Amino acid sequence: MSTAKITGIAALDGGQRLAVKYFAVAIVLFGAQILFGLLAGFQYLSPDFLYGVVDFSVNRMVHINAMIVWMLFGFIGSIYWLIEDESGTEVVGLWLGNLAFWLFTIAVVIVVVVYLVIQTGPGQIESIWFINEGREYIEAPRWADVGIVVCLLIFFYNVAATFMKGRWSGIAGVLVLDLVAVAGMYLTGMFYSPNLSMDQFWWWWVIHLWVEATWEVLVGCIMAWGLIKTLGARRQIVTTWLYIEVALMLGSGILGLGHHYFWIGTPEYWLTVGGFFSALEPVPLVAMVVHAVYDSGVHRFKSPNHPALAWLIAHAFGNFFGAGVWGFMHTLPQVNIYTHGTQWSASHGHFAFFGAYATMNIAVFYIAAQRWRGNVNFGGGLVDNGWKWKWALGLLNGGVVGMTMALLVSGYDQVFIERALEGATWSGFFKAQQNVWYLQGMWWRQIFGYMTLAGFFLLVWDLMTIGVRETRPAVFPTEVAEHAA
Amino acid sequence: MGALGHEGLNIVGPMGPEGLDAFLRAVIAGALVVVFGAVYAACFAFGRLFSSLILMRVAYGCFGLLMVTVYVLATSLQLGGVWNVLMVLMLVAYFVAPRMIWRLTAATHE
Repeated sequence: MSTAKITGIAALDGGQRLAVKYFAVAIVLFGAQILFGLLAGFQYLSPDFLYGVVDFSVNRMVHINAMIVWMLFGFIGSIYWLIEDESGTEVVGLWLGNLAFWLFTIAVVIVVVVYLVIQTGPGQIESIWFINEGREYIEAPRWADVGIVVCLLIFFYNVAATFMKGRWSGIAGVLVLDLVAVAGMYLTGMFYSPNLSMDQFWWWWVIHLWVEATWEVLVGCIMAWGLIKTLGARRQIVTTWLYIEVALMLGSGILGLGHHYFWIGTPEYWLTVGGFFSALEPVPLVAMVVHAVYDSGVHRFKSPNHPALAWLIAHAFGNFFGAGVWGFMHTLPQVNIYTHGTQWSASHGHFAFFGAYATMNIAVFYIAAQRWRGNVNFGGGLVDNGWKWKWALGLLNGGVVGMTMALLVSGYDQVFIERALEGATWSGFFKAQQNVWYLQGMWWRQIFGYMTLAGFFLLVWDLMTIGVRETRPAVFPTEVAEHAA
Repeated sequence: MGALGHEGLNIVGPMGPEGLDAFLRAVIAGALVVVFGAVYAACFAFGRLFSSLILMRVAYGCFGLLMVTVYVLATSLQLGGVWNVLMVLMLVAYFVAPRMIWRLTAATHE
């Protein structure tokens, strides 16, 4: 066991060293997301718990904001991880990237501390700028919004300038174009209108188009690079499919935004537009099954990084079920009229975000860990038989799926009592949440939340220790292909 | 019941037991549409990959179940007019997409 292998920062290029910083913060925020989620979940069961200390509204806000930011840190880190390898040159403006990292991290800490210290008070222009913008999911105060856009622009500059200095690729082209949208789309959540319908209209551009469209493309780029690295997939094929998948996704996804416009006061044609594109949104996911079967059958890939590959597979399944099945279940307006704003949406949100994004970040963490440990074998025959990563995978996925099912039970109870029997009245809102089925669903959600927490601890432990005692070097599929040639 | 139909997109009044049954049928059918779509696509792809007639028959069987679930979805929600056209379009897309993707996959992997 050599020291160089354990603290393998010397083996990393400049971009990867910066990426590791992003990954470290991402993992801390992932823990914060779970912790505040558990606190908020427990407040459903015991509403007096921490009342006046950390209110439910604050717990829920930090839970969701931490999720958004840890995903973002993970994505930015992932791009910095791959950029020198992909462009064949050093990162341009690395110092600027480091500066942006520290600005972003310090801003996140300040925002969360302010959330916790100032939980109530009047809503004024000053509070919008310095305390809380007050818009669900994007509560960060305006100064932090500006900071996020500046950091994203710096990130865009670093990525675009690096590819311009080095070599372009299909992945690079899609990535750079997408980063323009990543920075630009966030701006739509930064202006305010006293007309609630207009305000919600633009707010959904951030929630649906920024998070679900531009992030999906970003994840597509990371996935493409990940498949080349973990499976040795041919670049030409991966790039072609990246184009096809982006076209399919944007074709059905952009106007799929319409399913968020059903009940916010927009014109009635959004019912048809939203319903139409929502019905077609799962078709690309289903079609991709064919491609996966073709590749697994024809190429019979082998990977020297089983945890990363397992998380990529979890990504494919999680995306399909969380976004596809759980999404279409309630996106037609005739169904959504009863389900929107209930725990049904939370059920879909938990499964889809974990399946589509968290899994991908964790896969890249394992790719990074392998390099950090000196490119040792993470495939079969690990010293401890890989029990930690297998249990972490099982507990995290089992925990999230369990929470999803439990929230679905509670959501159905709300549809049944609040919407159907009581006709969406104020008293129905409370009756539903006092019903035994609703509460049982919430208890099970809490139990599966603890299971997720256990998986998180195991994941962190595994990332810190996997491959430390491993001496066999990894044989990467790309190397096999090159040697064979 | 009426509250579930395309003409009655409102929740001002209670739905009633009949409507609740229809609602439950609709959401389960909605989920199964995507699941049967995926199983059809997988069986179709494996059938082509291994030139297996049995798998191709299973695939078409799954597509038959997909058609049934779309019918259940449409009738449970009392869909009419443009919404029924959408259901037909959806079926066509689920049927055609795997075949097109297979061709595209084979062509791009040559």
